[in-house]
Amino acid sequence: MRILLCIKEVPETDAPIILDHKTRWISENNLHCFRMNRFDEYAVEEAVLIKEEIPNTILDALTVGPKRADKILRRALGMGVDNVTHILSERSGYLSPFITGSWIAKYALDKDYDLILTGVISEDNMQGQTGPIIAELLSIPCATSVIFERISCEEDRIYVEREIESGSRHCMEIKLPALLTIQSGINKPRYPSLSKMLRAKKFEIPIICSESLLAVESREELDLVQYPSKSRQGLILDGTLSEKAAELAGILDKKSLIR
Amino acid sequence: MKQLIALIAEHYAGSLSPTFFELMTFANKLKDASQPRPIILMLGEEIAEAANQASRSTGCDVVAVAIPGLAFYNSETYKAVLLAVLEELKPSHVCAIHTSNGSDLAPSLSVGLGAACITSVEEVRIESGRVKFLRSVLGGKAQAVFTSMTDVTVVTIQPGCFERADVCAYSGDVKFIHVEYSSNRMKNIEVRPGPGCDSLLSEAKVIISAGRGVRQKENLDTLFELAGMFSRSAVGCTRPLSDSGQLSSRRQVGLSGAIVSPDLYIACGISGAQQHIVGMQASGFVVGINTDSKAPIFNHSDVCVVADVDEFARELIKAIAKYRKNPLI
Ligand SMILES: Cc1cc2nc3c(=O)[nH]c(=O)nc-3n(C[C@H](O)[C@H](O)[C@H](O)COP(=O)(O)OP(=O)(O)OC[C@H]3O[C@@H](n4cnc5c(N)ncnc54)[C@H](O)[C@@H]3O)c2cc1C
Ligand SMILES: Nc1ncnc2c1ncn2[C@@H]1O[C@H](COP(=O)(O)O)[C@@H](O)[C@H]1O
Repeated sequence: MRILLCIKEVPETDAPIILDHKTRWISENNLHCFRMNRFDEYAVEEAVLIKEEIPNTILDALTVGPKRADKILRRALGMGVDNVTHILSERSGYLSPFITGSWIAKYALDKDYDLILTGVISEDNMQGQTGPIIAELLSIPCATSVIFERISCEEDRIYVEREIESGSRHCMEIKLPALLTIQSGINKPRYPSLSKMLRAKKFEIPIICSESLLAVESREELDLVQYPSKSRQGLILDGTLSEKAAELAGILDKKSLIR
Repeated sequence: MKQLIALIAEHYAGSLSPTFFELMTFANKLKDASQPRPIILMLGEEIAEAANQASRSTGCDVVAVAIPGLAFYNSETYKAVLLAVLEELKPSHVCAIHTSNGSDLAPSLSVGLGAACITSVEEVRIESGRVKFLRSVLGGKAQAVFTSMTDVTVVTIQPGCFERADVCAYSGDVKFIHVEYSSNRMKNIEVRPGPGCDSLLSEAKVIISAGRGVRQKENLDTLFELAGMFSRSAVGCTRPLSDSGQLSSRRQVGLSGAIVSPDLYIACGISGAQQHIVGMQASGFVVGINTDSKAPIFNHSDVCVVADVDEFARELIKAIAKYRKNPLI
């Protein structure tokens, strides 16, 4: 089996973010930290589990992103991926899933992958489009939001369960090659192992310039980014912890919410 | 020639999905921009009932494609059949709800149509004749405004963001098409129901909900203790907590969990991603507790507490205890 993993670097958004109206995205000065898209960690783990199950499986991972995104490729190596490739794009700001998907599809076109895995959604763009677009461009079937999979003994088919509304499962069988977008909760992503991280550190990552891969235009434009609007006008509590707690308890009592 | 807006309608057990009326509202807003006419498309094995219902309740024309054996969604079949139908209709917009199936279909369809694809749209605005689509990015910390650069645009709308359109007084025409199609690379086996939501959750008047900001097991215990201060209360959670097995998935609130509407919802260490918000936005009163003053949950809270959730929960237990000492209880 040859499996391709598409992984993305996303900004950590636990701390307040600053928007940059020039790049129409999160301000680069504001970025303390980048990490692997959480949904992609599940995809990597799922691939490593397949490799443990099926002998002679080779796992390739790639990312489209700036220079610093090599960090997540090394993390993938640390988790058990065999080879990684960096499709370098220094474009700042929003990158359309159609562009990313076109580059990845072009890269994968002649490589005969049996299976391609992506995350169900990226935490920054949140479009959930890149996977289905790659599949469509490669003319292979695609199942999104996959929460369970098993490859058949003949390795020519895959049984998958898609998570649909209220946790129901859409169960189906798909002919390989295919693309799956992986939903969180399918497994428990492992931490990179120390010995694998040592190899990862020394790994010479092949770099491909995205623009040389394919010239492609975005089909949509991001005009501007703004802070979100409020659906409720929240009262912000002041004071020490106990003052805040006392005030909140008072509010809840007045609204007869206690008892 | 008037342009068309194609609406892909989901149906279940002979009935139109209720969220379809949200899509109708969205289409009516688009219609204001350039007066295109909505047309409803639906696919399935037995669709007569739902197709008639769609035309009667919206006044729109319906194209109903009956496909033997298509008991439920199959992306290969949907794509092939819809591409053929859309080729004829030449709509300016193809719209669906951002359900698991809508989000599965839209991007693939857009490739074949040479269309821009904009998913999980929460708001639409018309500015100097151009249609602007607004949607969350960066975990809900920002909203981005998109315009399409292509003649055809595929859009999915986030459930719960548009009001449901009223039922129309007149009905449209229904055109039935019969197509034989069986996908050879993708075979449906069955749809299995999910674990369901904890009845405690759906019946609770007060929900204390835990997010990833609740870091340790002991801190979860504190939240259970806090829940114990209220009668008819339950502990809910976000997806990461059920994914990691810290709490049962039956306690999960959100798009892929339970939709709840208690009198009081206390969100503890929850960022407020759109997929969580749709599950709790109908709550009576919402309190958000988060260390990050810019957490999106505060945009959906009546009271915002910027604090460490564990420290604050313990203070709150003490503060509420004072009210509960009331001899009337
Ligand atoms: C198809 C699909 C369906 C989904 N369905 C659901 C669903 O049904 N329900 C759901 O919840 N999610 C769902 N998700 C996931 C969703 O996108 C988010 O990933 C999830 O809601 C985030 O959970 P969280 O807020 O607990 O974690 P995070 O987003 O990581 O947020 C943690 C928060 O805790 C705060 N924090 C950190 N430390 C502390 C502290 N000491 N005290 C107080 N606050 C602290 C941080 O500032 C942060 O805001 C779905 C996603 C997809 C793609
Ligand atoms: N720049 C990228 N590089 C590699 N994979 C990506 C990239 N962008 C998106 N993906 C993949 O596509 C999935 C969905 O992303 P999105 O369409 O942005 O929601 C992610 O989980 C990744 O697996």
